[in-house]
Amino acid sequence: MRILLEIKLIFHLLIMAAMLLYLPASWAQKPDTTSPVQTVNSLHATLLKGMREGDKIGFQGRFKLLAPVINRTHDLGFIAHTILGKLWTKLDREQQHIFIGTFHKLSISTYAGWFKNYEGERFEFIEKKTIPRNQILVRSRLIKANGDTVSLDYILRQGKEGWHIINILADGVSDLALKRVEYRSILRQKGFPVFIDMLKEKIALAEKN
Amino acid sequence: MEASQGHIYSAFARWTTASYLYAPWILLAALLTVVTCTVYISRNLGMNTDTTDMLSEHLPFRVNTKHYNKTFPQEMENLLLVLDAPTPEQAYATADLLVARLKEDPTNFQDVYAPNVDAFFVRNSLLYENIPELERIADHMANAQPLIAHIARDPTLHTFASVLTGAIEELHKGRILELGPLLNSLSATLNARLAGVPRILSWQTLFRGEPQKIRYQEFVMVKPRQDFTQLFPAEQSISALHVAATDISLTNDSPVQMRITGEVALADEELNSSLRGMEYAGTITFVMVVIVLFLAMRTIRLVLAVLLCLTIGLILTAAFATAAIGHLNIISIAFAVLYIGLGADFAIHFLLRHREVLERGLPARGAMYEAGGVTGGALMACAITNAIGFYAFIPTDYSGVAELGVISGTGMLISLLVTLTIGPALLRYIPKRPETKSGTKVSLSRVLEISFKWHKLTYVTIFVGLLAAVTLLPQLRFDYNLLNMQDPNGKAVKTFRELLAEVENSPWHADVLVNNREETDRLVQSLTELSEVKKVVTISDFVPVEQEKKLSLIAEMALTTGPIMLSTPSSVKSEQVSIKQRKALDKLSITLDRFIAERPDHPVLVSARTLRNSLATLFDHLNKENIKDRNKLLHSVEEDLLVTLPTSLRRLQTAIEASTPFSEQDLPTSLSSRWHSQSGEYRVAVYPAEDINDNEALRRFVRAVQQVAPQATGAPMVSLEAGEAVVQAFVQAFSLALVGIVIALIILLRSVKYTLLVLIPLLLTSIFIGVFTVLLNLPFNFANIIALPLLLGIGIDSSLHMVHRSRNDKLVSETLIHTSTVRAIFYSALTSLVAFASLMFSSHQGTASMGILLTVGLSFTLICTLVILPVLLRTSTQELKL
Repeated sequence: MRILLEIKLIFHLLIMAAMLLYLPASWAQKPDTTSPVQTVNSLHATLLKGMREGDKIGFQGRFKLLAPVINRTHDLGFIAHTILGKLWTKLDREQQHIFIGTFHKLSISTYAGWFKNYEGERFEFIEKKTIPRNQILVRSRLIKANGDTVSLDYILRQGKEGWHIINILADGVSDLALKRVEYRSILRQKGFPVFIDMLKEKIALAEKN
Repeated sequence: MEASQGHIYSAFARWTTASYLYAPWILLAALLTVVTCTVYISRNLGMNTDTTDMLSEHLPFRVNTKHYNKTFPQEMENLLLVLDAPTPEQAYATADLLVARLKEDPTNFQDVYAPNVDAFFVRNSLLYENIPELERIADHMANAQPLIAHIARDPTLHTFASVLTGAIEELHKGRILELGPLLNSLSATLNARLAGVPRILSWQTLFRGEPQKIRYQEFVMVKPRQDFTQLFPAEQSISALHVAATDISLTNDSPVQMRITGEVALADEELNSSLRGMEYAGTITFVMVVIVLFLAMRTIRLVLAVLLCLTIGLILTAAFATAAIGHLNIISIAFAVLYIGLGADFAIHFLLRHREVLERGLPARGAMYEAGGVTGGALMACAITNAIGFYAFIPTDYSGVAELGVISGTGMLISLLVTLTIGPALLRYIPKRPETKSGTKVSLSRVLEISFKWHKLTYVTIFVGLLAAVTLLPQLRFDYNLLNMQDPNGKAVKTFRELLAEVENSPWHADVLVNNREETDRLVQSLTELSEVKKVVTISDFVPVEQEKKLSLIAEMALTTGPIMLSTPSSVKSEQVSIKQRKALDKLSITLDRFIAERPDHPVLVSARTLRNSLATLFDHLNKENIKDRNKLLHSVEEDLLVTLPTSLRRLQTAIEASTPFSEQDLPTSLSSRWHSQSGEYRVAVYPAEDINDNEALRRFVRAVQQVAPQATGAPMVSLEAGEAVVQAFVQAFSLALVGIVIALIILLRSVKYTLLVLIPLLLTSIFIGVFTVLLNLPFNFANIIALPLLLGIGIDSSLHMVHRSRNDKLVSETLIHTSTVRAIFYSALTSLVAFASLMFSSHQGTASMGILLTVGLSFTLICTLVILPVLLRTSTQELKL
């Protein structure tokens, strides 16, 4: 009998030890508002909200709704920098400032222009993958009511305030690649003022749509 | 003088008579000796085909090389495999497969090394680009990313076509896209397939925005196992290499071609070419020699007697080589050549003289006594002087030839013994019928008589010849380029020359070993300043500069490109697929048409037009074919266009994953051990600025590097220094031989005048040979220089016989030219001439040049001893009479 008691005691101790070991792990797994998937989910949720209310609030309403979320979920400064590459360093401080500002506006406008009304779309999470340089790839897709899908892959990196999107691949096509080719060639060939005008034109176009 | 002459005379006379009388016993003893020797030779005589030990290991360059080879053993005795492929992907993939396959066989391949295939260099490949190039590649990748991403999602011909259609439409609308290179590559691939010479599309070059070159190369360095007891030390490894190549379907008709070169392959090819066809040449030569001997002897039995003497002497000499040295090397194997040349000479002299004595009507025994007596003395003088000539090589630094000297020198003494022992014994069994004067005897003498009639002309000719020599001899040169000795059409040589000409990565370069870093840096700096030097490579060159900056560019590139996912297309090849492909191609063609018509000033117009034309030709072909062939053609086009995509994408993804800088310590051992030895020494590789296949360029390069780094080694140093060592060895040996021969002649002839008379034809011959090598542009080289001892031997023999005969028999030159001595000289030189003339036709340039040198040399020997010497002798005897 004593032996049985002792075994019971040891068993309890073991369970307690296991629980102690388990606890920190479960704490770590506790949902973090800034996890990569959360970042993407919050973007998707806001986009859906904007689409549902799209007709009601209009472009400006959608812009206002999306702006803080996009600023929070994207590292737009880094994106702008990467797009221009070496040309970034050739801009003076004021030009850099103007470009960042315009680029912010354009990025939000593009989202607001694209996701303007709701026709039964939904986003679906596929997987999360660690890629080199401590970046995370979150793969998801947009499913339209008619069943057509567009794959949306996000590359995120960790900043001071959590995970930020730094590139988006729609159906595999890199947003950074498209913008890099276009922006750099205009900036190189036509100069800064024309470049900014081109960006502004795009903003206007997004609004008109 | 008379006493010693008489003493030698009677000794040889008695010896030969005894041999004649006890012929059966002598021949039986000879037979037993030959059998014993043959067994002994076959059991004990080895072969050492390792050419590195040919020159004395105390020479400074040998010391440097030895130290280098000990420090970096991977770098010596290699095979260099050159893989030529139409695309970089195929070259890389084949090298990768080949390396893996060769590593499975460590017995045949001790070390396999292909830097470009190493995972470390694949991952860090972009770090080795310079910054502007990296920026260009980054721009290009960004430009190509959308197209690649679309095609990778469904890598099929129809997707490819429709993606391009979309891109052309975008271009049409005014978007900026760099489509030209892609359209051009596509047209080139289509055209190649339609022309029946398929050439697959390289995605790697497209990714990097480079035009596709005709050929891409990868190099694999292999250290094969070699067995130096075999005549072809690398034969087994090389055939294992061919088997391995076939295993990975690298055959003569595969798109990727493998060529084998490098030190070991060159040596193997050289041996092959010098020995190839030897059996035929041997048979033909044998027949020719028999014919010449028959012309001289006029009876088959005497010819047989000469051949028997030769065979017995050869076997005895080989037995001596076995006992004294134990092995033959590539050069000492030539003792057989020398022996046949000089041994035949001895036998011919003895037998012809014997016949001459017989013709005078002497009885058999008396004839033998006299023939033995007179030829014995002359032959002994020949044997001694020849032996001195050969032994003179023993103290030189050229140990390859020194061994030849030991064997051949002793061979001469053996030959004397055999001729005067076996010769008389054999004559016992040859009927002694009196001969009628043969036609050649008469015509030979008649030709020679002319020189007396025109003796003034002879002097004038000699004088003119000597004048020519004074102007031409300074141009005498030694070609130390080992490649020039080989068959110029050999695969290994051709490939090697091609690599030398490309200079950039010349397989011939100098290597300097340095003990520490500071000295390395200092040396690199002073070597780089030399105009003869193209570049200097050390281990630090494998650690890229500005890594942080490059890594941030690579990170940018990686982010911009994104993780491109490659899907595997369904492998269904139904009729429906073909229809889909055709539809997509039609649409592309129509879009191109519209683009060409509406944007006539667009920069991509030319490329668009070319592609449209290629598509039109493709449609023509498709329309002509039946359904089955049509599907097959479309399938092939799809293969050509997309087969390299997966490999290229994988390599690209690996390369853009590079994210950490690395230092020298991080380099893979397979590389670092080739540059920084375990003993702590650094290797500095110095590449020439010129193609050093050219001797003068090589000399300039070697001397310039040696000025800065006297301890430098490597193939250029070795061939130049070895060449000079060989020349020096020969100069030393010949000087020594000359002194030795002069002393021997003075002792044997007891007369300065006759010694001079023996030497003058020899010196004239040497001078004329020198002049001819300049005129024929046939420089001395490592091979033909071996012919010189033989020429020396025959030259001494011939003039010695002449002088001996003239003096002993107190003959005036007019009578001398009718004697058996002249005929013996003529036929023995002719025997050597026909024996070695066939070498001229060898595909191995070294052997061929040896053939030419021997032919020219023997002809001059004949002229000098049979035409010039009698004139000199006459002048000297006339002086005596006065």
